[in-house]
Amino acid sequence: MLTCADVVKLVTQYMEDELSPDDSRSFEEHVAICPPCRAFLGQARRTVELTGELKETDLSPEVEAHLLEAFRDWNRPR
Amino acid sequence: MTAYTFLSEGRTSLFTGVVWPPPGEWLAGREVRATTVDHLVPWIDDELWVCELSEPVSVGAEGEILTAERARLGERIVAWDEAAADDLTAACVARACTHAVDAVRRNGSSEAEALSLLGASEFASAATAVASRLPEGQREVVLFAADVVALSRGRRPEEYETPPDPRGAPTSASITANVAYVTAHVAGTVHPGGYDAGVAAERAWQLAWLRERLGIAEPST
Repeated sequence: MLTCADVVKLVTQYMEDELSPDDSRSFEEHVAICPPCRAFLGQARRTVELTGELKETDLSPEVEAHLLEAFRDWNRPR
Repeated sequence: MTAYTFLSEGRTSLFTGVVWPPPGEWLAGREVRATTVDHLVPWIDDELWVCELSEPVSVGAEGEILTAERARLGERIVAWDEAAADDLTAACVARACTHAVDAVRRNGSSEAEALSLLGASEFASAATAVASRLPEGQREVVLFAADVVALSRGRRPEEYETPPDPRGAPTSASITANVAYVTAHVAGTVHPGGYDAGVAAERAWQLAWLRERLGIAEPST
């Protein structure tokens, strides 16, 4: 049985159907019996849906500037 | 082929987020999955439906996952509702506490009788103190059973004493799925025949409870 941390780590691969059948089944077995992971999977799916609907032109200049600032140094070593 | 499928509220698949069409209309376009009456318990969710799978049906290695290209819902088993889920949760909690008391009693501890007199809430509150006086082995099973009581309230054991938070609260059925699983783990921990035998026996008891409550067919042999 996977842990909740495993579910967090694997959720993107699960939603993109990239897990092996055994891993996919283990993922589902955990989600089926874990209320927080059920909620997490639903939130992850909803996030993908919403960001998929988002267009660049939907952003206000202020939000765009804020996001650019936030991500400018995201991968700089700390 | 006729099968069963547990769905989240609104005929929604927990795993894919797909909303099944109304009864009688085919769901197609991706692999559709369902299960047999023998394997309902691990997949408990808000709604239980009878469904029809188009042929050919692929059967998973352990026989519990059925896959087809198309499926359609039939009758919803309306006896599976919040009240039924809450009742199964309560039954599992009682069994988890009983398993713990029986294990303590089998090991000759004088704590068993006092534990056996406690209701579920008192059991959870007293568990830590009682467990601290028990030897290793018995201690864990008492704490596991206390976890079941906390989980039945829809929260993690360490949050047992905090007031309920209605935001994003788990559904009755998702609590049942969780509590039934952990109760099977408690049963496995204390079963004289070993962990797997205990889990299997507890899952069989849970399935029998469901079958009787919902009036659904005997498991196939």
